[in-house]
Amino acid sequence: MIEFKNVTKRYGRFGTALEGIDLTIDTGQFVFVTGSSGAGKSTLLKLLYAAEQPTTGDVLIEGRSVARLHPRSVPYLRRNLGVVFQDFKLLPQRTVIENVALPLEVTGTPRAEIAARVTEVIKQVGLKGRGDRRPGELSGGEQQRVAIARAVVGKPSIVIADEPTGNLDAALTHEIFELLVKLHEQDGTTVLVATHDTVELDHWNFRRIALRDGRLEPGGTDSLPLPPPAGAEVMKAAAGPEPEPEDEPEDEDEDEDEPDTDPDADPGDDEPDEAAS
Amino acid sequence: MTPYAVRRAFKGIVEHRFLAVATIGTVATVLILGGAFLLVITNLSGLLDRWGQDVQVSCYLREDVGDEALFAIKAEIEAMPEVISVRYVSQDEALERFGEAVDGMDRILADLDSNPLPASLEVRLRPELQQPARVADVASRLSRPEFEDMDWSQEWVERFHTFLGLLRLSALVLGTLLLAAAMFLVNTTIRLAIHSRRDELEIIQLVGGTRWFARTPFVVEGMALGGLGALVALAVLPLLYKYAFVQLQASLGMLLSMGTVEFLPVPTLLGLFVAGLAVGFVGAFTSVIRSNVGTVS
Repeated sequence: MIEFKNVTKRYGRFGTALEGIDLTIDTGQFVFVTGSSGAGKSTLLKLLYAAEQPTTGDVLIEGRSVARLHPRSVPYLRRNLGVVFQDFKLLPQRTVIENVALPLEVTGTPRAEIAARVTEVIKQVGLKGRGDRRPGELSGGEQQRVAIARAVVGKPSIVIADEPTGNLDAALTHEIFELLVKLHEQDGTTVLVATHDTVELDHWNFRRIALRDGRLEPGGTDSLPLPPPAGAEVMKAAAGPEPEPEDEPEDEDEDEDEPDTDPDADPGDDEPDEAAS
Repeated sequence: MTPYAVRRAFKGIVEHRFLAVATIGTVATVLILGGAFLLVITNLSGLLDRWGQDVQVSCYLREDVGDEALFAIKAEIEAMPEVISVRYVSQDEALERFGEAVDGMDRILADLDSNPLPASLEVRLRPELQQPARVADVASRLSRPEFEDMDWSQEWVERFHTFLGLLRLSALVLGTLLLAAAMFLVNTTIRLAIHSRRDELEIIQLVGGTRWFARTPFVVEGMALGGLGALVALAVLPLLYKYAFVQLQASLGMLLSMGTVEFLPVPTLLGLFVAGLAVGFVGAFTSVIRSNVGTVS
């Protein structure tokens, strides 16, 4: 469980990034953090992986304060978090395999185990056969898949994605969201995705945390009753045709690996669980 | 030291091969210079040791000293712990030696009416006493009223010691300066490597790498640069010995009656290798500390 307790983050005297945030995210939830640029989405996520400290208030993960964590303990926190960025943050000189292996290298995982796990995850994100390429030889969507593979390779309990599709076109954006949802469903990972992509937000029926000027906004699902399953079915039907055409070319691997999980069908199927959590 | 750190360190060297070669070359040059100095000092010390074994005090006897008194003094001196042997040199023997030592002198001496040279006792001292101060000390205790004069090769021993002392000191000062310069270069090389790998370090932190996970490859890289520099020096020094020192000895050896010039002993060579590693380690270590590598941001 993730808890934000009356969190305020200020930069300097006047720059307020977050103000009085009280928030609870249950384990295994998929949550969108929405809001326009500068609303405080990134700051909210940075507080989770201890890249920023709150000015006041506290952030807790499984009851342990992230804000009061000793700097030397931060790496151990981060090993249990997977972070995905808008600009991918991949190492250009290293192959896909080496990039994905990094979180396991830092924990001193034996090489054989690293090789097995990396192969598995690369297949999972649909990059089978591209392990020896360097990021520069891949498309933007593929690069973000590498970043997602790196984020999940250590089997973290929480995955944080900060505008993961900000640099991608609509088709690739949908693929990335499908992948994140798939990983969430497979492993029950808690996923927080900051985005302002309204098409995707409308497509997926997950909890939304809306921010405006650093404050929680009523527009999020937090302040609204969760939509009934029937409504979600309608949403799914409405959103359904939209992403279909662009899925075919690059999704072959994924379909092979997971024949029974049709990404488009998943969110609808999952609604009751999400509503319950 | 994890396998990752070692792999990353050598990858780093390949990534910056030109800078790496320059650094290895500098460390090698410093250690070659140091090694050459050590070769000179070791051999000169050896020379001094050999000369030192011949520390000898000549006690010139008054003419009026009788045989009985002479034997008593000889026995007394022989009993002293610092003394190896005492030899009596008669006036005739002294004259004979003098004639042999200088070409044509024997004919001049033959013309003399009387022998002007005194008889003497040649006292050989233990080699441990080769320091000038101790020789002087023992000599003062040897002194007897029956001796007209005493002579020990004090002056040149002192000069030689002073010279060797200065040589050692200058080697130490120069060596320290050169090592510091090599260390500084390793430090700069590693700092550049850190700078060029900023993004990588940021990512390492984001995926949960500890400070030392980020730092160790740089320290290993520094030690590898220092160690490789030392290996180059250890490869060059025997050549330098063979082609410079032995040649020099061939032309000067007779003059100095030095015996053979010896190469550096194995512990000294090991010491040079360790010095290379240490230069690399300290240079890199100070660099990662100063650059704050791996500090969570």
